[in-house]
Amino acid sequence: MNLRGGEGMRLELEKIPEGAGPYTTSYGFNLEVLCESIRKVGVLNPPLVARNQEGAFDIVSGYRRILALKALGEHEVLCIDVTPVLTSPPERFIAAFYENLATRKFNDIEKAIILHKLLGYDVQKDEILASFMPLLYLPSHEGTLKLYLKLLDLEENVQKALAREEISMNVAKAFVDMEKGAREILFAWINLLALNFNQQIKFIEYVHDISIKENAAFSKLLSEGSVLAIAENPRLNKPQKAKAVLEFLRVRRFPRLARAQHAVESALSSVSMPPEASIHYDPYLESPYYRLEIKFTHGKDLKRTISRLHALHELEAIPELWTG
Amino acid sequence: MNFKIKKAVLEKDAEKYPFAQRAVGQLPSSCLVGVTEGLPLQGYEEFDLEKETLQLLSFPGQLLKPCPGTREYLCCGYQILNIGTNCPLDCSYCILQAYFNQPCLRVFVNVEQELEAIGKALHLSGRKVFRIGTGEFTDSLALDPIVKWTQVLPSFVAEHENVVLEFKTKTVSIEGLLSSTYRDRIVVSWSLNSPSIAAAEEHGAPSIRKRLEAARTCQREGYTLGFHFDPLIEHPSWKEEYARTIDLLDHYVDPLKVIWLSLGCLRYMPSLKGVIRKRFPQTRILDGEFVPGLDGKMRYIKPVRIEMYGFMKEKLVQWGMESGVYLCMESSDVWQKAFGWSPENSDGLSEYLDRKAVLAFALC
Repeated sequence: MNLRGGEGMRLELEKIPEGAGPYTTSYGFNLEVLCESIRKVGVLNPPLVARNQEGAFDIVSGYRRILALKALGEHEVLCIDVTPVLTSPPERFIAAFYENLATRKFNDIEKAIILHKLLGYDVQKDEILASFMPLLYLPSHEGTLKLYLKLLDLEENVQKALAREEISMNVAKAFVDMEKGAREILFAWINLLALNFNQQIKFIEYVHDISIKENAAFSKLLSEGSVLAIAENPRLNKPQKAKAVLEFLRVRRFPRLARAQHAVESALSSVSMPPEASIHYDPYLESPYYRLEIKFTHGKDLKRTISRLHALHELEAIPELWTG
Repeated sequence: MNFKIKKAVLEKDAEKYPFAQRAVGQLPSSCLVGVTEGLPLQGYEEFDLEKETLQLLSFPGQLLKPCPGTREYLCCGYQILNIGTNCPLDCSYCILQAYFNQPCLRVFVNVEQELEAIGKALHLSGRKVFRIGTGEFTDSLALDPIVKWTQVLPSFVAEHENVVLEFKTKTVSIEGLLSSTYRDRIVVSWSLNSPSIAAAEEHGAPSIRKRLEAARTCQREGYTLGFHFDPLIEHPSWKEEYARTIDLLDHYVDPLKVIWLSLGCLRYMPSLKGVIRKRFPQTRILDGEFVPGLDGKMRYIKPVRIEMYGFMKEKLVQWGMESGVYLCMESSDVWQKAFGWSPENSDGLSEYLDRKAVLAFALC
């Protein structure tokens, strides 16, 4: 494949059809930076175009550049017409893929689009697994290929959130196996609470586990008064609401553990520890031991803290873990 | 059995082994047999476990290895003889679902040759007892009608006086054992659970009653028995359910001829949860309060484990198991609280079970 035979030409932007066309891989992008760049220094690399069977021009690569030019009110663009050198649609798509690959990072939806289009252009699955997936920084596993193809079945707003890295790939993975209704509810809550990646996956896991354990639909669980009261509490900001909802779900999912942790916290908080000493424990209460930490600058300092601890009768009230 | 091998794949370098030829000879005529350079890994994901393809191959690594216990919990000092991986049964909780990167049933055909080398090493070790088991990475007997492990392994035991070999199974494939004349220092163990867990979660495995009928047959034939309640699973009416299994044990088995019985609550690598949810969406085995243990595996919170072990121990003592009940991968404080004693550390537990073996088989 050699693009040297392409012909430079000035093309009126209105002659280029609206929409991404068959070869574009771009999704979920932000045009502002590109507009700014074109405003300052113009289009440095001419887009590639090719005539389709109807005689109109399709964009082979440069979709975002053309969109940016339209947004800037330009009327024409210097392009390279690659119709004579890239005669078939698969060749045009492969050219577009490599042109993008060399210049930018694909988001997960773009990777999904690429894999889907490769299959559509009759590229063999084995070749996709062996050659293209590594280029996309994906493992050569059929399961991964299937997962990425399923991403394209997700709703537009979920796809956009994934492309913009507002939800994690782990969340997307959980979403593809979910019914639409359940997915919509979880996605709405993730947005409402502005959960970070760790919180998102925890939230989904808690809700999923509780709904199975209590045989209750996600919608029923998340419309309970206690949850709504947190979400609608005007005195809490978003991070506080997120933390409170997750804690509510955690206590619901792990009632005995939460009670035991609460008992330990209560017991420890009633002890007036010297500020340089602190008591720690395994949050899951799996290790039977507490751990005492003392900060000191010299031996006399340490001895003084130990003496103060020795005189602290409240220490005897600290219960064995799980018995408080 | 409820499973059927539809395809066998013989790796090229495995053809020369008599073990492989014998196994191929045992396959049903409907089974497709092919020779290959090796099955590709590509395309495999953990959700696509392949239970109908048998791969016969020569294993290039060490076949005998100590159980990969962790220092945070007490390990019994067991040695694993890796005769194959994966299992035709399909238990929802099986850790193997997230453990291996090969989906089909794999049997290592160089076991006889490797046993010669292993035997020499055991002879030189000077150690009194080697408790060796084959049921960690596969079921010890599920594929025995085809691969005839019960013809190969007892002769190895016969030649090494410091070896005790345990076949661990959920099946009733005991024909090979019954036709073997050598029975000394061989323990035949069944993995047990509550009848409802066995029915709902141990897909393809015989009922508890059928397993115990097979155990009774083996006991009557002179085999020493072992049992493993692992995983114990917290489920509705679990006390009544596990008591039912112990009642069945009482009906079928003489506890005085049971060498050991282990208990272990359900635990799993975090990555297994997604596999279970995907493969068995209706299962309730993940309902409990699981927390990361000190070894990184998820396990029930401590009071649940202590209650379950304490309950089981009490019932087993009532049945007649005065000694030999032990905990698999538990901490010393859980031992103490559930049983009222603890072997303190892994060496202590290992010595305890070695002594059981010495007494049961009159080892010097």
